[in-house]
Amino acid sequence: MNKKLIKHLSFSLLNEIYAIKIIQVKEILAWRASIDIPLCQEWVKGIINIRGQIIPVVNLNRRLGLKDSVKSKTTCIIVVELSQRDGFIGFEVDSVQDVLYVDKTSKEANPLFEADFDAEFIENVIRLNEETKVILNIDKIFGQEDIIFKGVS
Amino acid sequence: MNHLQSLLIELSQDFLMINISKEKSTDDFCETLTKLQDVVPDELLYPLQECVQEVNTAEALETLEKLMDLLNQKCEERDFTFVFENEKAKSIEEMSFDTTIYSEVFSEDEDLISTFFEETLENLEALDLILNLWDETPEDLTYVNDIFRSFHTIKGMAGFLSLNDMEQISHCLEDLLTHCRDGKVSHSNYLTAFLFDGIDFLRVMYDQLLFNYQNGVEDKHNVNVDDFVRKGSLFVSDFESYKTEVNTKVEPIVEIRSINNDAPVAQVKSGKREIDDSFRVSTKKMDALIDSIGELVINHSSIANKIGLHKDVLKGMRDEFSQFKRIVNNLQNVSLSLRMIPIGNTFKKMNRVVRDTANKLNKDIILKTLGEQTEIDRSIVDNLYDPLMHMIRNACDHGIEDPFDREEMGKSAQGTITLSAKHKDGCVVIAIEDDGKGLSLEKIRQKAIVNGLIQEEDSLSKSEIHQLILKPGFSTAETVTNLSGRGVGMDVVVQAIESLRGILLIDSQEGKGSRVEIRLPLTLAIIDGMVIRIGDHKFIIPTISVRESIKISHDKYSHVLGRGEMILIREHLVPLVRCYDLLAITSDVSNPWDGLLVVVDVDGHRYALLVDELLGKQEIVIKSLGDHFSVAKWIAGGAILACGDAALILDVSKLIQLPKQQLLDEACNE
Repeated sequence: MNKKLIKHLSFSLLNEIYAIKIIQVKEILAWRASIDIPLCQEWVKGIINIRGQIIPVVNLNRRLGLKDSVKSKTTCIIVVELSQRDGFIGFEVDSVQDVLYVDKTSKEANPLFEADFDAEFIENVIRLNEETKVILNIDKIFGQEDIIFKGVS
Repeated sequence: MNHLQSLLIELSQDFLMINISKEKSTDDFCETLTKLQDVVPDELLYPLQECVQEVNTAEALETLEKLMDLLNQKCEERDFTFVFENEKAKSIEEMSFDTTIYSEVFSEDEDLISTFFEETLENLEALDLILNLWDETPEDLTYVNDIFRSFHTIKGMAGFLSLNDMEQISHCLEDLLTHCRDGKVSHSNYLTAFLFDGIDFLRVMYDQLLFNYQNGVEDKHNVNVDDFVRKGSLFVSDFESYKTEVNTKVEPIVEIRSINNDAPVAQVKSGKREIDDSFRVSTKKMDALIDSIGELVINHSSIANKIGLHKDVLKGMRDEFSQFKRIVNNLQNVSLSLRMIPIGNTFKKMNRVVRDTANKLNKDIILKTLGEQTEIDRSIVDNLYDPLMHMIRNACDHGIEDPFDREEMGKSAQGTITLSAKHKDGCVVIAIEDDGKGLSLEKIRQKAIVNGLIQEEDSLSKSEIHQLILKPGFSTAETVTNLSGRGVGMDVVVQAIESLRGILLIDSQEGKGSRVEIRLPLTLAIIDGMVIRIGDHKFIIPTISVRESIKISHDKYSHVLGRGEMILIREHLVPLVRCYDLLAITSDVSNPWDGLLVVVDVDGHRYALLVDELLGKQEIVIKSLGDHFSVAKWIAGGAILACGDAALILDVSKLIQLPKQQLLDEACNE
């Protein structure tokens, strides 16, 4: 194992494979219903109670501007911690895939890949095991102040 | 009167002589004392005679010191010049008299001493930090206030323990900062350097004291207090010459001596003493511990439920499992009790505050305490000492009159301060009552006008005037005493109480006395909450902000032109707040007479919140929600309901400020 390799967690969303740095993942939960909250953004599912801790859950598809997924047996919630902000945030994925070892040095964007969403959300696009994997930047995706609630002036 | 003054000077000189050579005859001194008997006021006669009798015994020094204090006070009262004060300060300086005081002090209340060490260290560390911050942003004057307060607290503590050097230095620094606050002295490198010097000196004294205390020795620090105080006043009066002096004379005023623990054994008189080995734990860590124990309890019960379904599994380990349950429960109890301690210890410390303050002021005051066993969250108790001390001192200094005045008014010569604590409506109510002169509405008014807090033409109610004394920079005492300061007192108190999510109420009757009531939550982590339902949503409203919850009939509802929808509740029109509208959710009821009205109090104004129904009351552990929720100000926190669902706690004062969604939508459509 090379020292430059960084562990990533990959998951699927609408048949596309995405990955995020494993260091930011707090835990993976089986899907559960969330409690609605008022005045929130349209991509927010609600809040859940994980062993006494209250965590907001986001519909990642909507956050990225994709169409909704169909809930299945494999649907899970990945709970992550952002590097700049306190508190956890959860998001739904169609299924959790694998742990990937991504070479940091081979940082070349795949020119063939065209995202359906904001390029800012993408950290990198790599090819690994004959598959295209989109590495997401969750600090960008969830980092804005009004990620859960609409700002009230 | 001049005669008294000259006698006092003579006395102090004799006093000095006795101290220099302990075996020297005390005849001269006795003679002066006897002369004094003819001129001193009556109330001093007894201690004086006592002193004469005791002059050859071991207690003489102690009695003398007390006597000097008394005389000194009389001198001040009669507007004498401070010759004597200076004389005394000098004599103390020259004779290392301080060390005698230290040892005297250390035989006193151990509790108070460890508090002194703890808090002084805290303040010194905080000072370093704040001063650095101020240095970075000199225009931010809030730092000046913070620095001032820290010195003020150190001065107060040192004053109580008669640590004159420390008191003098912090007093000098405090003075300097007063000038800063008033804009007479502005931020400069000289100023910060001087303040840092002051902090260093206090630190040196602190270290020496701690060393002395722990090793039972009586070494003296080598800080030149007089020189420092002189420089301090020079700084204010003549900045230019201060500058030249500092620039030419580079020699350090103090040589910071390292205090090593392998001091010669011969120095150690009495055995080593150690400060109680308790330490503070950050609330964050404590909360984390309590939280994970909470998780453990939940986890345990879900395991218990699952095992219960397969009885045969349990068979072989029933004993172990019941033991496990016992341990988990025990852990939970211990973790919760970690937070709660009786308030009695803090009350006990106040006894001393009253005694010492009364002595200094020459008043006769007794402190009565009630409800010492009342338990309260530890983090609250920790932060309660300072505000209580301030208020007790205020009561002694400004509340209770001189014995003579009291008798004239037909009161008993002895003033009474009552300190009580009790549980009421899910909070802890701490009250400080005195039977002194009460608040003078007119004086407060005038002072507030002078200070620019209110305008001449403003008409204020009695309670509004009372509230004025809580404003920063307000002080009614005409003379600044070194006991209750210069009006930093009450605003510090209010800030401290508010940071504990408490409220402070003042009530006073002129001539009869004052009552300050503090209402505090039982713990910072748990509140009483009402669980309400609006449509499919459940929310929690903190019970502390709820006045009542009522159902009303149709005829109580009215629409007042220009004021919106109102509900008539016992002859008062209370604005109706449709929560579902503010939160943009669908509710089952839209008519106020169909649902439930929760009447809340926000800054003295009432609002009737329309909700579908009340689901129950519950003790609620407040969960912090992290940064992601910070933009929604109307959320006070999160909580787990009894059913295991997560719910949001509403901050009612912010909720009512939300714009009406319906109106917004209409505006958008137009």
